[in-house]
Formats: sequence, C-alpha cells, structure tokens
Amino acid sequence: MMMTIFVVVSIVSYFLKALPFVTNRLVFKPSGFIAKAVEYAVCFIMGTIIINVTLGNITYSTMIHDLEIRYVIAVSAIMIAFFITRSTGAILTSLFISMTLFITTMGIILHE
Amino acid sequence: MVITRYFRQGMLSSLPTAVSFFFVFSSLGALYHEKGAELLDTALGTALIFAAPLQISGIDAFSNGQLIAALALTILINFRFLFMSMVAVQYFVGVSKAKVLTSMLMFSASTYAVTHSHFKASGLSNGKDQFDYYLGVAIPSYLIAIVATIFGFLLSSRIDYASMDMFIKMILPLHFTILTAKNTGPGFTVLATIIGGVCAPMLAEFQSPWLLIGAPITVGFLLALRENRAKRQGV
Repeated sequence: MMMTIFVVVSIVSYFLKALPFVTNRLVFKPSGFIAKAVEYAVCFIMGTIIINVTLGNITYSTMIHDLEIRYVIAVSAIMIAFFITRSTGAILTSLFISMTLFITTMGIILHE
Repeated sequence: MVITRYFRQGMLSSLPTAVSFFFVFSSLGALYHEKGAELLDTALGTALIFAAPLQISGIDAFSNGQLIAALALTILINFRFLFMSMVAVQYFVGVSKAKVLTSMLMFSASTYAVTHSHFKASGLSNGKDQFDYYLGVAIPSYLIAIVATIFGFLLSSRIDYASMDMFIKMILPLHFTILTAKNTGPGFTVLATIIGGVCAPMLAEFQSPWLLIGAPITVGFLLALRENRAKRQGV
C-alpha cells in the first residue's frame, strides 16, 4: 500500500514541478509583472523554510511563552551567514564560519 | 553524457546541499525504519518524491495507507514547486523538452535555489550551459539523497540522529540564507525573504491551507506592484 501511495504522491508532486514546462500559459516575460510577483512569492516561501527549519515550526505564542536562548543563537547564525556572504561573496566560507560559530556557541550553552 | 565546465561548476556548488541532504535523508531513512517500512519502499519513496519535508510530514499518512490525507499534504507542502518551476521555466532555452522534463524529477527547493542564485549572480544566459549547470547541481544531490536514505535505514540502530539533529538541521537554512544574500540585486528579493521569515511562525500558528498558498501570492503581488510604481516614478 505504501508503494501505491508513493507513486500517486510522486505523480502529483512531479505534475507541480513540470507543469510550467508543459503549458505555455504559465510562461511569463522574465522582467514582467507576473514573473516578478512569482519570484517574490518564491523568496517569501524560502523565508518561511529558513525560519521553520531553524526554529522547528515554532509559533509566535510558543515563542512568547517559552523563549529559549537556542532560538536567539540560531537566528543570530542566520544573520551572520547573511552578512558574511554580503561582504565576502564566498558561499562555502560563509557556511563554514556560521556553522562553526553556531556549533561552538550551542556546545558551550549545552555544556553549561 | 559529456561532463562540461558548467556541469563541474554545478557539482561544486551542490556541495553544501549534498552535505545537508546526506544528513537530512539519512535521518529520514532511520525514521522510516522505525515506522516499520520496507527498505525498497523507503528508497523508492526518495527516488520518486525527492522532497524531504513532504516525506517527513506525510510519514503517518503513507504508512497508514491514508491516500486522501497524503494527497492533501502533497498539494499543500509541494505547491511551492509550482512557483519555483514558474521561475525556472525562463531557463534551459534550446534544450529538448524531454530532457528538461526528465530532469524535473530532481527538482527541489535546494536544487532550484542553488541554480537560480547562480544564474542571477553570474549572468549565465545560454540555455544549454544553464542546463549543464543545473544537472551538475541536481544529479549529485539526487543520488546522495537516495544513498543517504538507504544508509540511514540500514544504520538506524547504530547512529543516534536525535543528538545531532539540532546541528544537522541548521545546514539547510544557513545555505538558503547564503544563497539569498548572494542573489541580492535590484528589487525586493531580500525583503520578500525577510517577510516570509517573519510570517512563518504566524502561518505555523494558523495552519490554514489558504494562508499557506495565499500569503506568498499576496506578498509577491504587492512587492511587484511596489517595484513597478517605483520604476514608473524613476526611483
């Protein structure tokens, strides 16, 4: 049964990925209004993924009642990664520095 | 298939994604093992779906045979792929449709983000070179996801994924943030990402499918409108 569900789910998932390549109705001029709106919608989605994964799908009510230091450290690591990339332009260096800072800080906090 | 310069560049760019995928999909494999799934089902699940958030969120629906719940989750969680491929459709001009459609099996938020960010930053405009670069990113990421799923499934009892979870899961958001920072140009891409981040806990609170799909569309529309107005005013 699991395999049947995987096949059906993968067909729907693939359909969402491939649809714009099959029909011309979803193709827009890259500099046009709709293409811009879609690109910003994708950036919005990326922002939700970044925060949801970083903070484990946290809600504002949980955050207010139970603000933990690890959330602050995780968001700080995100901000550090952003600013290092803006200043150096190096993806791997930025990933390495921000990840090392995050692990070290979390290690110290957990040790205490 | 000839390995071109662009394919090699793509492979190099896929390194953070590959590392992240290794940990994410191996913990996914371990999770499916715990739920009593078969190895073949688990590995084929990754090969066919290739979307860790859906595979993790939908594990109960999949293992209990709840088809409708699984479909609803798929549309809700993977609807983002439609927006992403609507952006990606501007690329790969001159590449055969069959090749592009086959490669869409390896399309994910990460492979999209790496590819799109590189095209924006480098100005790479030849469709065939773009496709080589995309394959360089997508093929290793896809293969590592499958291998890691099998690895995680087989070694689930020997590796304690829970203790590493906090560190492992930071690779993906850090990588996405770095790609956003790399991709800043004229326009509101960073602002849209920040708004998405600020809205994420709110969307998690309401758990409304309409909000999950409607919020990005509304914000995207408003920001594009703002940009158009600014352009008209010559700002």
